[in-house]
Amino acid sequence: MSPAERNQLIDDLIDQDISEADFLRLEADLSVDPIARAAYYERLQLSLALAEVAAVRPEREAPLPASSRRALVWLAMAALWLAFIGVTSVWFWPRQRAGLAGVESTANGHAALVTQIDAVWSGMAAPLIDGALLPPGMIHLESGLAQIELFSGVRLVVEGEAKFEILSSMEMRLARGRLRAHVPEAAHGFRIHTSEGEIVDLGTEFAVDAAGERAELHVLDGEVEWHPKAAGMLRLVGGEALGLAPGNDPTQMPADDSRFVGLSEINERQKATQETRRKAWLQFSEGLRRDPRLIAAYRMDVPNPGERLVPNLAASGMVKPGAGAIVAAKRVEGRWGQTEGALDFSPAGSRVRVNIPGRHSSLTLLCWVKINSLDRLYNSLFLTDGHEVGAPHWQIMNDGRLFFSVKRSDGHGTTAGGQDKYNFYSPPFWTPLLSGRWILLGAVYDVEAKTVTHFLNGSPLASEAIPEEFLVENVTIGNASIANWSEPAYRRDAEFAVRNLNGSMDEFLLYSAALSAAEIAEIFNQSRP
Amino acid sequence: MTIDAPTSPNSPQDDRYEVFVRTFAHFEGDLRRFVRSLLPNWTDVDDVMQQTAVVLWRKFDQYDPETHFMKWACVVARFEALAYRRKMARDRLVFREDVLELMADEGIEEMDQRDAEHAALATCLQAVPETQRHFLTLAHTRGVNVKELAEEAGSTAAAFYMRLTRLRQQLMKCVESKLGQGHHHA
Repeated sequence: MSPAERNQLIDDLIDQDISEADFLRLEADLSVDPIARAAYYERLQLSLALAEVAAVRPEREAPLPASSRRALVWLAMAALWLAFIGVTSVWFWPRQRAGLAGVESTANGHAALVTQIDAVWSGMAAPLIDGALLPPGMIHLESGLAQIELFSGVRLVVEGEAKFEILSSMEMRLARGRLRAHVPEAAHGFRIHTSEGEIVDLGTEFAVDAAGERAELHVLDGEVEWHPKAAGMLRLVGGEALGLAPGNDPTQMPADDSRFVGLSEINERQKATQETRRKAWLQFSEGLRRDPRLIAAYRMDVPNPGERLVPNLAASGMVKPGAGAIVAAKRVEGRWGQTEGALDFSPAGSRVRVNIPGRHSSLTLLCWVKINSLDRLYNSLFLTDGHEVGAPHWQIMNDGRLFFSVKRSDGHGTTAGGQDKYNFYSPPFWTPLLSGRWILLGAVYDVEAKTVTHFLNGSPLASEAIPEEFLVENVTIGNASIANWSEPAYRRDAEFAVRNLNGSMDEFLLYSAALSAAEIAEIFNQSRP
Repeated sequence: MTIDAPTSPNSPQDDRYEVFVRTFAHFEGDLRRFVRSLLPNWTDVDDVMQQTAVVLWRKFDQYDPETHFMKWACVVARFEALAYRRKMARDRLVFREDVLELMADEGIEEMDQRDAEHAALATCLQAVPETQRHFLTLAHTRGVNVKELAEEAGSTAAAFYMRLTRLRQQLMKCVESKLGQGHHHA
């Protein structure tokens, strides 16, 4: 039996999808060959480790044995095991719900869209956002600019109108439009197919203009081969260009760098666009500050050298909480790319401590966050200390669901079933593509409409009715933490639950009212970077 | 491992029970992997694990704390797996007795090595890019059929298997290189 065949049979056996004949063959091999046994064990171990991670529920759910004599011991142990498994699975890493869409995007992606300026795409199933993987097939950029990075390291600036297709990380087709390609050493051999022939780059920078009737190839630096469909290959070096008219011989001319948008230009234009947006947002947020429903606007982007404080910029709220105190968090780049414009909460123990006085009924919580990963069981957004009656908790579960709850009672059976609170979950919103990207999260606790609604980037994710017995009309906050959870004060045990958000935040808004979906959409549109 | 102990005064019997449960809980995963290597069917593994737990508790008096609990537990589990094997008709996938014994004995002999492998694997898995890890874990979720998964994703089963095999091989290589590094101080 060849090793490949044996491995296949081993995998079939592990998957319990093996014929009896194959099983007997494998067993015979295992009985004589220690290498086969080692292979069996290795592959089994791998499969078990993966299953452990994949298990949404622990696997220990076998029916209890009939014998009541041993059932007692068993039950006690089973409970402990479950607790233990709960602990160890946190150690391993978060279990994420793996969607089929995620699988497909890996199978299909060759390139990421890095930035875009005034880009208009047509025929896209979903809007293309910065950082997105480009879908397979012909892509139509109607107008604007796009900076694309292929996984091979090739960087492209594409100018609309353009039609192109990324065939692999080393190959693309350009049907129409202008592009400039920068090819690093690792990607020498990068090819572009055009209707007239094929361009093969030998490094480092060239541009193609296929916007009009006559295509042009400009070698800006390095060396490029031109393989026309009809004639023999031509080799061009930096400074040379070819005019390619269908049916005619190519015409030589000097290359013209200035005709093609370069990487530095796109960066400058992007910065300028961002700065314009930031100024517009600053103006918009001046208006927000004066909204009497707003009680806290913690702005991590406001510079306060030396002071480890986050000011509350809310100007007209009914109560006026003071500045938040920064604990452990580091200042990092904000959502407009400005230095020290946000707080990174990933260092252990990080949080911003705040005190929100007063009694409230409806609440709206909004924050701009950039999450690296959801690697804690609970990933904090805003949590009151401990969890007192009437106090809200807002966090993200490690499977990507948003969590919001207000504690109803102290757990002494005042509610049906003895539950002390009702947890409102959104469906999982998190995908790996959101990692490292600024997003606006929101939760609205609406006492009048008796609903809890979760928001992502200005759009409602899910809305759920608050069951009558869990409605809390008097919400109190008091001491609380942004991006972490503080256990009850005066607790001396130094051990603490790791719940700090693995990511950054640059703005946190708290309203003592339920904002409408339209208002939240408007805030998102005006404050997105 | 942090499992809060009840603070009420315990009888010596309760204390002993608690020590046992804690120790057993600590090694449960390793023991389960060991039993799984002997029995290819999860239902059988569950049955043998239950029986093993009961026997270990009964014989806990005889356990010599100077020796490794895991080794002791494996010897008991080996015996239980064999006994289970004998009771069972060969109507489902079970190894022959001699093969089962061989695997068990090698498992016990190489226990330290296997622990190291398991730890290396955990590290290597964490290094796999998230999307690929999704793919791997999805394919290894109990009850998920790779063929159906492939169909749903619009891919052929063969392409899926190839990708899975490649990823598995990458992991294996990673584990080997990790263990290679560790050998200097092993």
